[in-house]
Amino acid sequence: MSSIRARLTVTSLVAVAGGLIALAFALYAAVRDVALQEHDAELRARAEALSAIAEREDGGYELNLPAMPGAFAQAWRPDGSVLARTPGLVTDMEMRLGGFDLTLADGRPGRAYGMAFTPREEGRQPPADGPLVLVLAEGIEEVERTGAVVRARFLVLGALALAAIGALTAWTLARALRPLGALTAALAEIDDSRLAVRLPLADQPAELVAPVRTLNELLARLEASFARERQFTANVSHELRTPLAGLRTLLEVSVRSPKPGDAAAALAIVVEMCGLVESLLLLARLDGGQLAIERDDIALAALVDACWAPYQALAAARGVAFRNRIAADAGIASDRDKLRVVVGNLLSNAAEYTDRGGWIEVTTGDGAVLDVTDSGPAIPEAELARVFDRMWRGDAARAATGVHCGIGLSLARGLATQLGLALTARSHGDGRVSFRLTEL
Amino acid sequence: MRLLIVEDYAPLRDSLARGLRDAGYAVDAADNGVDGLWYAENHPYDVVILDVMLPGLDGFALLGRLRAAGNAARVLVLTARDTVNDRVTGLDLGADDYLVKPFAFDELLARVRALVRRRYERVEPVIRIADLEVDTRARRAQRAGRPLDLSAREYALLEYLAHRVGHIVSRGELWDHAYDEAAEPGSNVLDVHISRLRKKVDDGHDGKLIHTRRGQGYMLGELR
Repeated sequence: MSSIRARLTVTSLVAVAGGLIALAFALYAAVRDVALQEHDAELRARAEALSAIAEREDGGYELNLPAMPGAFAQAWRPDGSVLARTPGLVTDMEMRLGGFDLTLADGRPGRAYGMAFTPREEGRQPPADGPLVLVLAEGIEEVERTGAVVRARFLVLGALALAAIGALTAWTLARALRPLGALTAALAEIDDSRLAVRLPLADQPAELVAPVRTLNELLARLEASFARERQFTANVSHELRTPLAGLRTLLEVSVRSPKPGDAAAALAIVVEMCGLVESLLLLARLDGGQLAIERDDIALAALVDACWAPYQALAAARGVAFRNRIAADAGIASDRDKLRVVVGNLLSNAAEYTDRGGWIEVTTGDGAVLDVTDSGPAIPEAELARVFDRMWRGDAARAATGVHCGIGLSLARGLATQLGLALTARSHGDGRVSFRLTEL
Repeated sequence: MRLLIVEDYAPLRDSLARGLRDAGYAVDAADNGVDGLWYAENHPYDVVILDVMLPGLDGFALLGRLRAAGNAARVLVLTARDTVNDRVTGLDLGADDYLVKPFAFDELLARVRALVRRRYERVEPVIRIADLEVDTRARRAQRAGRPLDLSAREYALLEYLAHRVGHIVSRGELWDHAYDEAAEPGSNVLDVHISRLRKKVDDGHDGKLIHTRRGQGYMLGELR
């Protein structure tokens, strides 16, 4: 695991150290340069002084170079032959003009200065054979020592600066990252019972505003989703408890009574509850993505008739007419059981909610695989988008029938999608409501 | 005692009505809030058994309307919603008791009996008048230690008169509390039942307990 703090600290320290080292080298070079120039000027002055003792006699030259501690000199005649050497100098030095580096005869690093000169002779013209050359060399310990001092001071100061910068960086980062710690603590406090909490946006550093806002949006979505889930569970439990209460009371009253119990009514309740449990299981499998889809050739008209059968009595009792207008040869290749659940839910919904004395019509064509239209009542536009929500109830206080806790249409749409069909609802404006299955 | 059931789930409503009638109550039933409110406003029920999720007018709204109008009926709220919040709402609105579905029918009966006692401000389940004992828990009566063989209707009349001991109960009031909508209206039905009840309670005893106040009604109690 890499920490931002460690990475930033190390990176900035490496950058600063690199800068300091480069600066040290540049400074060292500059200081050495200046010291060398001064040294050269001094060498030159001493070389000039030495050259002044050279004499010209009878067409020849004479120069006695004295011994100098730590320094060596050599002079050449105009023809290049050696005129003189300081005592102790046994090997020739390089004959060169101006300042240059070299290794001294005793092996020390040194600096030399070479100059051309003509010894003066009273009352005579300068000789035509050209000037003499004198090279004076000396160790540069002095210069090196100056550089070393500068370098040493710079290293100490640099190390101190590096330590200070490191500490400052770490401190600043720790301070800058404190809001992250606070966010982590705030997030750690949130559990499914406290999803209404939002992270504070005020006083956040600019970098954290976007993540905090995104986290808050995520929290809002989570809260809504948990609320939906809770409501759904409450609805399911309500829808299971109502028929269970009916069944229990029916059986208890029958047991207490000498008259025979109403087995048909009890059976109807059990069938109703089985349907609900079946739907819940199907919904859970749909959510878990565990549905295997099969393909059969299905005669649509017959399927619709079969799906309608369970609701015939209910519709008849409410004076609702049913018209299956699907051509006898209309067919579809799909999963028979799942399509039956989809169509069954659409018809059950229509049978239950169509106004007394109204009608339900099932058709195909016009782009639809199947269309279930009823005579109303109309579903308000605002609620139309929500009819497929898992807990939608057009009227929260509608008759409790045990199978309408907002599962039917949600399940129908989920299954339709698995079958490659789109399920949509439409209000026609004149009260008619259509549920249409179309190819995706 | 006369009860009203307001419950939209037909199997539960029908079973409750049957069970409560078997237990000797006069029972009316409504399958939606609007009808329920009409029944409650137009009949003097002793106990209303009220579902919460109702079409038309939900149970809590119905309860609020009843209490606002000063209705004295005891209300037992029956619901599948069992959160603390739901119970608090119901009780705050003036419900007298709360039962979560599914429930045991015996428990419902016990709670209805308790609500009837509270309706007539009694604590004891046994009402004693001279040597007559009316046991509202067992729905039996005995006089001088001998059990009385009463029909359900006769017991209902006796229990209501016992709750109103010492007061003159009009024929209309007696009808309202002991008969439901399903009963054949006709005043001689009441006369027949009362005369049979009187025979069973008072025959063979010196101190008569059931008295007729001509033009006013009936009264249960000792004459001083």
